[in-house]
Amino acid sequence: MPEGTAPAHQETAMEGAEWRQALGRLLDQLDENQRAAFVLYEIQQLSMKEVAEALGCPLQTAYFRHKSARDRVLEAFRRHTAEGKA
Amino acid sequence: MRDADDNPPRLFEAEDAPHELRAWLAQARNDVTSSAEAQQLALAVQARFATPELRWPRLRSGLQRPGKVLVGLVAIGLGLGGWYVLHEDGRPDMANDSAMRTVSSGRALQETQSPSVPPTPTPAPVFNARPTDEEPTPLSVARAPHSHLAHARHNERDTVDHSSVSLHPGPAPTSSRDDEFALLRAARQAVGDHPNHALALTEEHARRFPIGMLAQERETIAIEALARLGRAAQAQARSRALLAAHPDSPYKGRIDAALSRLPSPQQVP
Repeated sequence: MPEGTAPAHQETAMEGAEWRQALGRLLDQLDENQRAAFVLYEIQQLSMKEVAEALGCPLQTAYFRHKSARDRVLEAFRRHTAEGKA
Repeated sequence: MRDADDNPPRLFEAEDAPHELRAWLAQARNDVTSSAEAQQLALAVQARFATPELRWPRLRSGLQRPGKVLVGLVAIGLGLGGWYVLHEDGRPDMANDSAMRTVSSGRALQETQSPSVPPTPTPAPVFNARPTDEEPTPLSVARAPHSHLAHARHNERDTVDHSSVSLHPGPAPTSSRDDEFALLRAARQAVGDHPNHALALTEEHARRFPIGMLAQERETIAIEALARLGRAAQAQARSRALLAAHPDSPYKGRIDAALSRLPSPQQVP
């Protein structure tokens, strides 16, 4: 986790709301398990082993959930971008 | 925290990932606690829970490697809670199938606590009111009066009296987020050998963090503890309430496993 990075309070409320809303919409494409795996791994930077432990699932299941989540997030982002350009 | 060899590349670091998406993830990562805070938490937890009677090898191991394990442990709580608050602030209209929101949303659970759910003699730790002094920052978490964890030193055996859980103000913790996660982690570690103690910790967690970041985790631990104590009715009631609020809860497997350990009605004297 980078230290000394700009905290949220240094953003304007609008800027903070925009990226959060956008990222939140992407995450809304995920089911609960995928979302948990994605956030814990991609944002919280847990290891996959730790993700599996936190979710109480086998390691391979955590891998699968994360992979599925990642694919869906990327797909949703591409749609988001395409819609923005349209 | 660095990736182990068996960890896939993170999207944030993937050069082929869209730049904007990487930027969003980077900002989201910046919203959570720093590793320095986690190390402070490690010291605080070590001071509070370094009791020989308690068998928490994973916790101790983590304390010896705060740069990895504890950062991860803290991050679990922050991730789940942070995203709950994040979405609460950013998108109040999208409150459906969010794991982070449901993992942490005491409010959603509160709505399901209907009179049909049998009351439990202990204070319901999960389904409480939203605190009144929420932190205004986007990734803030509910601030409850900081009570300390010192009771853990006194309640290490299963003879603990729930009513004796201390809520007296103590030394200022590193942060409410850190404390919340530390408290719940301690409860999880205690479930196996000290279910009474684990239950007491979940109750304190509920008091201090009524809408806390990890409401589902807390409730799951409480159910596991109740099951281990043979308090079947309470375990089942809380399980029903939790699963009614979150039918797809990631904790369903743990809850089912806990309930499966309960004695059958024929076995109950």
